[in-house]
Amino acid sequence: MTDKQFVNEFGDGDTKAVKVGGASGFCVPRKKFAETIIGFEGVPTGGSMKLFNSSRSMYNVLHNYLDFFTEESCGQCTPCRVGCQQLLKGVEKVKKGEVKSTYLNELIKLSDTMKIAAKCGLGQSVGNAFKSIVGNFREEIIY
Amino acid sequence: MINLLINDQKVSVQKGTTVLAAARKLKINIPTLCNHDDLCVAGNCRVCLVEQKGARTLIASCATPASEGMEIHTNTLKVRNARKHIVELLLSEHRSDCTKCYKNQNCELHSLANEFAFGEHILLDLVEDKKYNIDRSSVSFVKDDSKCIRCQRCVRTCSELQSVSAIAVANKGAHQTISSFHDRPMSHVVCSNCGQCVNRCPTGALVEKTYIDQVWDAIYDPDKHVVVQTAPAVRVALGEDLGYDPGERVTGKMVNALKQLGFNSVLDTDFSADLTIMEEGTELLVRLKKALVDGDKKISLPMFTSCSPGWIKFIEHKYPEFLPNLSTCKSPQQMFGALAKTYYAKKRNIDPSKIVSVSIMPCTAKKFEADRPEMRSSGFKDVDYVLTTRELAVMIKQAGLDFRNLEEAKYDSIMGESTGAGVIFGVTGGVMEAALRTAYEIVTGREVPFGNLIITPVRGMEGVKEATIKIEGCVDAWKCLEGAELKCAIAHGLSNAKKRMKMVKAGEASYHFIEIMGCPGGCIGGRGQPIPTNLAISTKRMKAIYSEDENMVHRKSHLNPEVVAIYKEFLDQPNSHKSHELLHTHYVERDNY
Repeated sequence: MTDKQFVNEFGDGDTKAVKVGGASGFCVPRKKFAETIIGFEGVPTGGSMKLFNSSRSMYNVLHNYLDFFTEESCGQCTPCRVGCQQLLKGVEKVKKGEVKSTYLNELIKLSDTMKIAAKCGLGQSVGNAFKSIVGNFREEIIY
Repeated sequence: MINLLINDQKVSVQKGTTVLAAARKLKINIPTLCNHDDLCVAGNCRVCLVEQKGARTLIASCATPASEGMEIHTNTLKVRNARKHIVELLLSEHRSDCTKCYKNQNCELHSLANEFAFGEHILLDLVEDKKYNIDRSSVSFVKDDSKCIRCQRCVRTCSELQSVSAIAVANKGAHQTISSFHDRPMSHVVCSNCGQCVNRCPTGALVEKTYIDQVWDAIYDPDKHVVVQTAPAVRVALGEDLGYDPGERVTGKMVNALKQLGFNSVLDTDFSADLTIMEEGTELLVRLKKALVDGDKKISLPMFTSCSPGWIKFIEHKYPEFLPNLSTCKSPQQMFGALAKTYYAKKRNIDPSKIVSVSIMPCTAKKFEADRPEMRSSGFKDVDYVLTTRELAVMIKQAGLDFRNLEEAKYDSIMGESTGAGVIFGVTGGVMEAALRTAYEIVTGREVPFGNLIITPVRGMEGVKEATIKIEGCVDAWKCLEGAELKCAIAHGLSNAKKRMKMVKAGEASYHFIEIMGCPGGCIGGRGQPIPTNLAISTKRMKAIYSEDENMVHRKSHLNPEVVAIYKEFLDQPNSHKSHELLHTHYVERDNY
């Protein structure tokens, strides 16, 4: 099943994005709905699917996820414990204009490190959510 | 054997060896932070990440056992970038006031940061957002959470090596802290003040409370007469902080340095260690006689040694029912302190209120001991300031002394003379050995039946040591102990002490005399000693202590001429009324929470 078929099941009107696989999954933007297969051959599922319509701010969505990860990190390993805090504080500062928008590139590099350096799946998957939202909705995070 | 490739070099290691250890075998350096040779694996700092061919993520080399055919690379771009990120993350959570920090130049995080040559901070500072607590309540150490990097070495030390668990991890995620029970101040929790955590903290989050400035003030006060005593374990470790290899004895240079620093009299804790043997040995014999011969049920056996203040506080918290079993003797430091302001003052004709008594100890718990309200039997605070070995090294550096080229000097007289028995107080088994050398001779009139006075069963780094000595051919006064078997046991490190206590409590062991030292290896592994301290380094210091013993003229406490003199002139005899007044103490029951 593709994302397009999936949202149609729910009477798609103005779905902006679908988060496949819960908090730690990937966020798929509308323009990629048709080509994205839900499943291991495409974007793997796990847990929940979340649909966001156009009234949603993707900054708030990202902030909400990062807040969740910062709280839910067990705190043992450095990449996850401190990395989550850095990502959260980083996007807040970008939004407020206190750091340059290019700081997002640094944060993406950091989330890549978290992916390969964290001790468990939680820390390793923060980057999925972060990169897929920032990558596809960059202007919403900045402005 | 397991064969693997690290950076394309072949290496064979035993099963169970970590990738980190295998790399070290090849002299490949992998940076570490949460890893410590004495502690269990944690793998939480992630600084030691390496790349394994075929693995999805990087692996922590300290926590991954080597397996057959593994291909490891320790220095790829991926590894370097990840490590750099991790060190930067740690720095962002760490209050980096490095130039003002007590651990300045002596901090593992600082050295790591140096390695990565950060030009500027890329990541944001997180310290400013948090309310950190600086706990100065303990007299022994300061706990500054803003410098903590959550490597949990201290937590592992406290539970694993010391089985005290005064500190533990609290909360999760961003709120994770190393905390005490109910977040109480460290002065109000079950903490032995042993300072093991202080010695293992890689940053300045746990540091000893320093009294260097107060000591300088006293030295430069023309009204004060400053006496200093040095513990046996200091002389074999001080050199490490001054450029010597572990295990080098620097006794003579240290004495000279102390004189150059301006102390009015440089004396030796070994003297009062000899005195401790006289008092404690006699106390043991009297207890044995009362219990075994007179059948007095009120006498508590086994008798425990009381020289280690960490152990004392531990038993007061955890096993208060055994307080009567503790020898009532003060530790050598406190005996010295009490005598410095009485006997020494009288002999030298100095007003005791003008004497400032300083001790150099391998220990942070000694700072607490000196502060106990019981320790004022001279009418003043018996020991005014306690400095650790590390603090002495700092003072020597502050004074700009060229330590390596100092002439060797001798201790001053009155309470500066010592024997080999006093010296070995610094290692596990040493108090036992010294006590046996004297007690056996008091009872039988002969030397202990071991070649060259070396009582081998009580020596070494094993956690559990036992010795049984049969008492035969007693002199007339001690005929009553003829044929008795003296059963002794030794434990070092509080987790070993706990095991012993469990045995004693369950009635599984019938010992007469148990020596317990709070730190692994005894005072040589004490937590005021230079950093790093681990098993290998402690073993070298132990060797040095034993060679110091063998080089002494006298090797039995009762032959110390100054000890003989003090009994003749001042104390009368061991366990006399006067010595009970000055050299013995009592203990208090403390809460177990």
